[in-house]
Amino acid sequence: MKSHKEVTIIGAGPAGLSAAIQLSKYGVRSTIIDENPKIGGAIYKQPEKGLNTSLYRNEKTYKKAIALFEEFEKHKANVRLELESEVLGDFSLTGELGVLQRGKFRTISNEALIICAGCYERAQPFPGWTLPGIMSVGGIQLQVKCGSVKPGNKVALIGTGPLLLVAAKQLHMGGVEVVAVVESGKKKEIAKNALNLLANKKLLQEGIEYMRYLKKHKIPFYQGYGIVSAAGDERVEELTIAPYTDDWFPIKEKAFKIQVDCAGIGYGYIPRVQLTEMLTCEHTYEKSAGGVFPKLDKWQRTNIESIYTAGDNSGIYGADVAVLEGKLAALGYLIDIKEISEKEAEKIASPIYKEIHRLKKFQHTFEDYSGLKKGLMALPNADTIICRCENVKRNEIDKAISDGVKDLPSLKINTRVGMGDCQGKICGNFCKEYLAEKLDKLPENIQGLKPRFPMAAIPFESIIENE
Amino acid sequence: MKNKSADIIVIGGGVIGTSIAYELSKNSDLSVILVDTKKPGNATQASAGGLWAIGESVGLGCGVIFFKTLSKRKQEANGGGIEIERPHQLPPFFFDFCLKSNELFPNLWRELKDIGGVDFKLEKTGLKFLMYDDDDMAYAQNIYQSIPHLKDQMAWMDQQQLIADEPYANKNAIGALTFLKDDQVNPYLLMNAFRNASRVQGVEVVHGEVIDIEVVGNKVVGVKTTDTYISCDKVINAAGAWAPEIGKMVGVKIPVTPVKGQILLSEKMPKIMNSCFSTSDCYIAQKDNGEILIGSTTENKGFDTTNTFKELQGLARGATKAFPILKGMNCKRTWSGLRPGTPDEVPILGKVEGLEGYINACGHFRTGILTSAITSRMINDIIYDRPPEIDITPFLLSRFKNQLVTGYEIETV
Repeated sequence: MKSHKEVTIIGAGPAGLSAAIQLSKYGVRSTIIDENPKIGGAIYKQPEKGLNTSLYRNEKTYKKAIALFEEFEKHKANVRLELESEVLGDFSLTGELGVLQRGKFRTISNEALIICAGCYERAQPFPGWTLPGIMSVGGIQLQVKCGSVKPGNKVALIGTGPLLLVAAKQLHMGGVEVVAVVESGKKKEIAKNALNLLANKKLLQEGIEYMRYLKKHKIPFYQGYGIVSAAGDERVEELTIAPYTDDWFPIKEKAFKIQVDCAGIGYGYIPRVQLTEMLTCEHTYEKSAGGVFPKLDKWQRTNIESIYTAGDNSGIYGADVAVLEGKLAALGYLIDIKEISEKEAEKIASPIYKEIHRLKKFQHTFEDYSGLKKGLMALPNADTIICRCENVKRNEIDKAISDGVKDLPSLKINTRVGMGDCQGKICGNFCKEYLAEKLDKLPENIQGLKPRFPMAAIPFESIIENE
Repeated sequence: MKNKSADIIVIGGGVIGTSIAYELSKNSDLSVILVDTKKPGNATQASAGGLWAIGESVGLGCGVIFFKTLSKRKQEANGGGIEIERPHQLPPFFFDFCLKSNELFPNLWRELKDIGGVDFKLEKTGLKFLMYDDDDMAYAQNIYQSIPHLKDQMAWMDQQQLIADEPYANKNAIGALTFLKDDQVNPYLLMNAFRNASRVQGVEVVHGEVIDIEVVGNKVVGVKTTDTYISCDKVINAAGAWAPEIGKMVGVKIPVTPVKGQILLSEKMPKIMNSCFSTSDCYIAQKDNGEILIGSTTENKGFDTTNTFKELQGLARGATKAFPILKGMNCKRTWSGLRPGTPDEVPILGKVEGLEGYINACGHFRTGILTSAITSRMINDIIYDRPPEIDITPFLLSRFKNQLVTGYEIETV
């Protein structure tokens, strides 16, 4: 039997599962670590009793999920699944990762890692965004997927991207009144690239079906509109919506109000790169792929030996690309442990590359349409809270900038932005974009916050009890 | 390359550099540029912010933790039977240096708040050495007896008093020795306060790395950063753990080494302690915003600033022993800082023989926050060729003359 480094896959979403399956096909065992109680990650999140009990089991994404789970089931003998386990950081001097599993802390080797950590939703501050009832679109969707509680009775979904449509349909199917779907992208930006859309007829078809669903159920759809502000006493009661200019500045004279008890806001995603940053992998920046993510070679290798990444943490391209990248990362590992030759791997990879190219091309079509624009930086008022943990307002950030702050670590020291309980996970990205905008720099040239152990809060009890 | 000029350039944007810039800025005829370089491990930002004048001088805080760890390792290596070692005390002049600096803080707080608008959160907390057993008691008594002239700044507390005063502390602790005037500040706000006030009073802050110092004959004439040349009359080396690199540029060998310390921070909590604490296992300080800071190790790992689980765990165990209520609370962040350690644990201040226009203000090891106030005044006096209020002789670099020293030597087993 060949001996090789034991490989750990971080994340049981589409990329992680796909990597484990590919490894298993070559008889290579792996361990998957995931913070959720079930496999699937965020996109394929399962209700407590499994996907087959879901209201949405006949939806396209769910069919894909079920197929992936079924295949994973066949390979389960080669996979050790560690659920409800969260990676909290890297201890490079001892070559370990710290993992918190159901309150118990332990360390595991960091020797060979396929990191499939997914993404975060980008937080978009605007006046009133901290009111209860205002959530991220993804957050609303997770509630719907779990089938647990209704997020509200009158919901508006505002932002950009296909998830708005998906969430609208799911909410409506779940008996929630969807009062508006507000997409900030402009129709003309899609029309410009209409030919490229044909690159993926299936996805195009899916999009059209969602639009039909909205129409059929008389769910108002506003294109080229976006959020201005939210208001309410105890929780959100009213949203102000306005048409956006080409740069997404709200045209306030044309603003109008809608009554809601809940709103889902979705202005983009950010690759979850805290772990790869802690591991000191080299990163790169691409706005259309969500910002900063690890620099990879064609086998998903980072610049650090035996560390691979796949899925949205390597650039936001969604579940279908994630599955394919998971396969590539597994192939990369198989090459590196000499389980297969590079030539053999290339044969398997060739159609994968083609498919990834096609999917990415389709997505790039939406770059002009859905790509975040400058106007978003101007949404918060001077007294709008930006850092919700520390209650730091925009004017405090402005003052720090006028005092000479040029990067996030200094902004943090000066204003306490990012020092709170979330450690900048919520506001860090916006602050970076805001600094870039104010200093007339590219966001990639603004130094970000340094992730540290623990990447999520851990009880002291769990730290002291580990032996 | 941009060109600038100044009378004095302060190299280092930590608490020492900014405090000096502030002191110098009181003379509006003097032009001062502060060169601030971002370095991971910057000790000011990593610091706990204790103003533990007596505590630090007698070896509490990090010292006592380190020696207990060391003794434990020796016991393990030799199969038991070794007494717990305790840190040595620093010489009397160092006590004066710390005590005088501490006395400056209340005024400094007002001044900096008035001038620059930053409140660095000076809190009258006192520092308690928490005792669990006879060993701790004997050690505390030893401290108490060795500084009879400071008795009015210390107070004993028995178990009952301790429980009454600190209801969340370990009920089995047998008492505490309190250092009544050892208070605390918020370290990075202190640095901000110095910097803002300096700015208001005309100091220019230049961001960039110093790559060379130009010397003509035996006199410093300018400093080159990555993108600016600044001609000057005097340069002050306040570069913390990086001071030797600056010294090297002018041929001055500075025996400072980075001494790593790891720290944990809790989420915000309601007030559970009325003073700062030092035990044989860790020090604990609840800051003004409710976060509890737990430090710190003493390690020789070069410029590495990563964390290691075993060390964090040791500190966390010490803290949860002192305050069991912490067990149910969350740790939200950990980090490491690099103290600028000198062989005798005393800072290196003042001029250097044979080199005009160069002044040291480095090697503040564990007490940079506390002694920034007095350091800035001493350096200011040196600039004007006045004798500083505390004799500079034991702080001069020349004290190491003819000695083979590199920096703080960490005892190992």
